[in-house]
Amino acid sequence: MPAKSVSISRRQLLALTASLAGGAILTACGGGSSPTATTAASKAPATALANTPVTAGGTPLTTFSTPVPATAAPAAPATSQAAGSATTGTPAASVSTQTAATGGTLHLATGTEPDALDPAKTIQLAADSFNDNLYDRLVFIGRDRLPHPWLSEKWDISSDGKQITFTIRKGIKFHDGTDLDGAAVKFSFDRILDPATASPAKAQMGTLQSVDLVDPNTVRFNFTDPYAPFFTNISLGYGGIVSPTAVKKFGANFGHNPVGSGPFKLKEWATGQKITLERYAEYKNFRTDGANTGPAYLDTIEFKIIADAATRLAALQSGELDVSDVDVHQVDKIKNDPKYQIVIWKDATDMDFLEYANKAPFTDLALRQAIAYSIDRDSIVKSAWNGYATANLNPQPVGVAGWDATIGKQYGYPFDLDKAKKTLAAGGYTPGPNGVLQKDGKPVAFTLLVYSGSDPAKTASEIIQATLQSIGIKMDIQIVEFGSELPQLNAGKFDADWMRWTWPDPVIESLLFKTPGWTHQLSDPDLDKLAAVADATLDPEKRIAANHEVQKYILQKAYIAPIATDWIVRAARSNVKGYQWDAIGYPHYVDISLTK
Amino acid sequence: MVYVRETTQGSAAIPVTEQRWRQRSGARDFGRALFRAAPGRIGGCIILGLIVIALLAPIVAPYSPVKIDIPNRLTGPSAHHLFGTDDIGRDVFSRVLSGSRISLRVGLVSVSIALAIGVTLGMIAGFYGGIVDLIVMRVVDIMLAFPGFLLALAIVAMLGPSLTNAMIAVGIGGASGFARLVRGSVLSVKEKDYVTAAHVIGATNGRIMSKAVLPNVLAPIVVLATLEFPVAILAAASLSFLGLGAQPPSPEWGSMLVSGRTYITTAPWLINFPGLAIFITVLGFNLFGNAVRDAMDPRLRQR
Repeated sequence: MPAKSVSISRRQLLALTASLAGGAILTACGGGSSPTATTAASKAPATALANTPVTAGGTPLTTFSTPVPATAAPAAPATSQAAGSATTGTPAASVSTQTAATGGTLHLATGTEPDALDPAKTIQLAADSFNDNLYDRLVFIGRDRLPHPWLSEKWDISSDGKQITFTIRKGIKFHDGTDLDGAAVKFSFDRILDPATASPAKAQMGTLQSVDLVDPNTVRFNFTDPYAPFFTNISLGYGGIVSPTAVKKFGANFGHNPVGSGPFKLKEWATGQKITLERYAEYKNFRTDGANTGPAYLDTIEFKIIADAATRLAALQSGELDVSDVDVHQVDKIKNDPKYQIVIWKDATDMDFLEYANKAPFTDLALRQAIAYSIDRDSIVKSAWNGYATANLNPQPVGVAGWDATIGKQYGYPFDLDKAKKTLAAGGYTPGPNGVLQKDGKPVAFTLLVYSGSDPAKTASEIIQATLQSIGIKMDIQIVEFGSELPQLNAGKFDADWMRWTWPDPVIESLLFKTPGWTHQLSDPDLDKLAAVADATLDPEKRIAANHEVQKYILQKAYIAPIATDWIVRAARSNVKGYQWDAIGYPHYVDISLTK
Repeated sequence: MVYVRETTQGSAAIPVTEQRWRQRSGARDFGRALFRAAPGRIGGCIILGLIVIALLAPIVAPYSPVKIDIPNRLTGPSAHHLFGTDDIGRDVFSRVLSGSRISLRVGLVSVSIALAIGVTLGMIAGFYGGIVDLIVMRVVDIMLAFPGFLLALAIVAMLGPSLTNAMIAVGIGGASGFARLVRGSVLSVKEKDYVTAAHVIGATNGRIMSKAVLPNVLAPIVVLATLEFPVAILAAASLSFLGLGAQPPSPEWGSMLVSGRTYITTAPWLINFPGLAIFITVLGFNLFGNAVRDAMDPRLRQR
């Protein structure tokens, strides 16, 4: 059952986390906190309706990559419309296609060097961001947060939800000229399922048991139990379809000789220095969430390996890079320089929150609620992120399907010190010595662990500290390196901690909170039941509804104090056109062009 | 020589015996030597000023160093906020003032720890000699082989990040220098007749060490301790800069620097003032330490 489905090991999460994606999905917090990766929505119509290719909201890209934003409001993703939404739309194409200049090299940086550019052999975030360009997948997650056909033409789901049959498009060729057909799809997934491969991506396949080739262009996926996160998971780099010919040819070295069908192919990998991708001239883009339906405009993309963020920004300013991540406190300065543009992804799939150890005083609901009420999110967003974040009351990232502001408003804990005080008073907390509240003779004092390397986390913690102090809760802050923090969390050797997680699918609730919880601090059978329903519901609309129940329950129990979803911010030279992210957080390099 | 006092007696001065000199000089002569040159005076004034500031900080500071005021965040230096405000609206001037208490305490505690460990080990090694000396000094050699800061980093990594642990780490890191210095001095002092005499009259080793040896190796210890003081302050600030020392919201100068560094181009006062504070403090102690060394130099040479 679903329990099995979400078996992503902590170690894997950590691996994801530690790597900072240069240009990709979600940068983990500076120190590396966030697990990242995957998944999103669910699947299509419960019935066996064929989901024809077409796209979902063909939003023209322009609206997406908001150039220079103001501080304020983030876009709330539309999640709910789910089901019906897979309506047709014209591919958003035409908008910029005609005008885009072709040619040129885009200079980017990656903070971490990939381990292997092989979907079956890595779940490292940096590698995943490269694989996104090298390998196309069966589905992509559209702006509506629903899966849409990509290499597949359509799919059918059996009535019990245990079989998904994909029809693969005809005429697609890998970079090596061989055909991408049903056999290649089966080969790619068999490779991940095969114990001999020892694929770290296997956990992402959930309850997938086997893959059958029905006919040359039809592939059936068989599950032991319905597994809703599957669509998002295979829309990530892990789901990349590899060339069987090339895998056989290169064997263990395939990770350094990747052959897929993506818009770019590997040109050169100079270990420790740079990785260069070049355009795949025969590329056909079947995605409908971008502008370009043909090959990429760029000739090449060069990723320099630069570990330090400040160095990356300096490289941008010296003209060495065309795009770089940028510290939110430096944005305003760069924004005013006509040489640069700032691109922002507000619908990010990360969330910052406080979580607690499973011990006193946090076993007391009143205290958890009071803390949640005491978080001045607006001030935190303003100070810690210079406004480049969205205050979030939901226990779910703003950019993930199922996020709905009304749930946070109704069940959450907006900043309200009076309510915090009343909650504490009602909970039996009385004034004690030194202005610190006490209950049963014990002062309410604890230490918040904050991973090092993140200025926003530190600043925000100081604000929370001051606010809590004003209502009689003494909170010390301890900044620790994430590598030494994690064992502490898992051993329960802490009081509370500041955490940041990134995951593009509603299954994030299960990853975080299902027994035993990602830090082994939670065990709530009622919550497990609600989460299990959400993870096994393939119908998008019903899945979102089930996810809402999970969110409400978590808020009622105040298991975490949600704080914000911080935006992904990039500075690009002004001649870079079309930089934008998809719903998962992969930049659409195929749409980028360079003007003189 | 310094202890031939510059009187009118001129070059024909009667050689002063060690005994007489001891009686007649002491603090006053030392003090005169210390403050004769400008560096000693400047250093002394800075230190005095720091101590006054540290003592009066709670009274003088216009705001609480941890008072948050978001609406007034990142305002530049003004009449209301002499040194401006930081990213959550705290008064930088008040924080820098309060930081002096922390830095002085760090210097004092770290050096005391280094002294206690280093002097004890050095005395034991030098006095007993032989296998004890061998073992102790090899350990000291190993510690010296590590760059001091690296050693402190390793210790903090073991103990966990906090200001107290940073002080302990810096103290342990500085101990080896004292041990080696003291051992060398003890080796020469213990051959003196008065030590032999003490043995002869049956004094215990402990008594000999404390009454006969220690007072006669004090001079180099004092010099090194003075010079170690700014090193300790700087090391602790560096640890805090790395997030391994003072924890938020402590107004430790090093941690103020690290918080302010992201605003280096937009709100330079966040790093200028704590940076200046560290600079002046370290400068003051260094000047003073050099002056102490110079003032004591003749005694060192005497050996």
